[in-house]
Amino acid sequence: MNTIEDRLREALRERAAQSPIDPDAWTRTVARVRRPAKARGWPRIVIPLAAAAAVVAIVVGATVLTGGPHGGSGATGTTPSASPSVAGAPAPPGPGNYLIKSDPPSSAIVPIKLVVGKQTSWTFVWFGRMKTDPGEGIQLCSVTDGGNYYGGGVCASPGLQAQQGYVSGAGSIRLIVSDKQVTSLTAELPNGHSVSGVSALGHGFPEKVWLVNPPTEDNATIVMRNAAGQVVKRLSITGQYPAPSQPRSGGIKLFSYPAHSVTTTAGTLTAYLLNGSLIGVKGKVVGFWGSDSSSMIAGVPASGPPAVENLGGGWVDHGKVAEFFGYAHANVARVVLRLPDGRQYSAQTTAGWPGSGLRLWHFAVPVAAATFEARQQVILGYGTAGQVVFDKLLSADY
Amino acid sequence: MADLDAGPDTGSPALDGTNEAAVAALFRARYPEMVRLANLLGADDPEDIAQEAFARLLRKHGSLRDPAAALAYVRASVCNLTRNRHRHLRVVRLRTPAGHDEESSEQIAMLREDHREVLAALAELPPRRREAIVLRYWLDLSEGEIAVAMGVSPGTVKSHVSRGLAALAQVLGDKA
Repeated sequence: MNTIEDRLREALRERAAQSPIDPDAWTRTVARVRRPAKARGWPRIVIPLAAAAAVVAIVVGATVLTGGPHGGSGATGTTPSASPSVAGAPAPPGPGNYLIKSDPPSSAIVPIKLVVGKQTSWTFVWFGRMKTDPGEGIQLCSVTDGGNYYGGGVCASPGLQAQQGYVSGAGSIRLIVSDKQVTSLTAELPNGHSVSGVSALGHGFPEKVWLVNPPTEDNATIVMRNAAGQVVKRLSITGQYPAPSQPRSGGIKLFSYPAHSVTTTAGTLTAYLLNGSLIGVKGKVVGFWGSDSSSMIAGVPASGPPAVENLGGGWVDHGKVAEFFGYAHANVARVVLRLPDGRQYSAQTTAGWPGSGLRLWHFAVPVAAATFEARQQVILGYGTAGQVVFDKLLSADY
Repeated sequence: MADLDAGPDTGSPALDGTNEAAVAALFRARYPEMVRLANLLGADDPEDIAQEAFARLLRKHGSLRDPAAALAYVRASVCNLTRNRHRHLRVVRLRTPAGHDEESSEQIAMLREDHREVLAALAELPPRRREAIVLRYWLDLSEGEIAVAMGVSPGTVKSHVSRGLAALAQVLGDKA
């Protein structure tokens, strides 16, 4: 055995020992199997919520989602009607909402009103599974409207939701799930202050959902306590820059992609030139939005290195192609992906935004090729005379 | 060989007393190990992964052609679910400025400096290599067992392990 192997074993052993184990794990596992697997029409539910908390004000909401006229066995094909009992509550996301379609609810849709400063927003929360990929497991979905939010939302694993959150100028709404034994949740901030969370427990919720709104760019420790005041779990979350909304203009449609490539559903990718200050970067940055509102934004100024930036290369389960796309500087006429076996995929760059000095590019690569040793794949940029003006090994993070 | 397809489940409840008792026994013996495996593979919520893997086993246990292969099924599910989660994360996550680290500072501080370097280098490996290395050097699985867990051939496992070790040696070599 060599030193590297020794060090690996020791490091893995130490790290593994730090994995917390939930004493109720078996109960939660069995609950996953016994939980209704799919929505049986639109449930008729009244959802009581927890009381208001210090910073995040919550108004007890009640959603009445009545069975659709078709009364089918799934969400598809039913037409929910909403009768929120809380004055001022907007209508919950309906069957046409892209997240309702992609992750049909298997639980109630719970409305939660948040008041932060003078901003009021409503977050609708539900559990569901990706229609096209139920193997992804249970997803916690939310759509937020009002305040600095514009009807955007996301479905992701509960753990990812806690880390990602919704971010706006008013803070970052984090959705966190917990055991039902957890009776209080606070986000403890580096400055010693804390922000209290509020809980929601609706029909069909496998776990209690908490919303907490710590300052956007602060790291925080989420502390969960039981009725006796004992800490039962801690969770570290990292601060984030606000996620820019998709601009209403200035987009350049780059290409249409098939399902299970850029996102689970087919769509069109559109590029925008953004003010980098939106994500804490000086200068302009380039961002790409898919049809499902997912976004990929370069973390470096577009005017600086690298001369060729790739933001694609991923795919979704069972996908057949990976779409590589990005921007390049004005001196790059062609972008090439070279694989270690000599195969190449390439595209001519096309003009970007007038006066920006930027060009755009994309090409599709079969997944079988894209999985080929990421670190041995090279992105090359060629000038108009055919000379190489840029080359870089793909990083392992795409 | 058991049916190791860890693909989308139908979600149809398939619990009966026999299944549940058998899976419960395996759960008691192996759940912490599966959580730790998901953790070492970089899962954002290792317990969620491990619970989902056992939940799938509960649903499918009756259809496993070889019930003795249940552990291999769960192990493969943990690998697949973690890999899928990474892909999903890649799609939905916003690219953030460099230095964004999801690992808690508490966890980092608790690790020895040397181990931190090793784990940081491991995290930089392509996912498949990382999987192969973790299965080999943490679980001490054979190439055949790793191949089953990863759904690849033993030859591919050998390649992943040797290239992964070489990459680690390159990064860590000067500090060894």
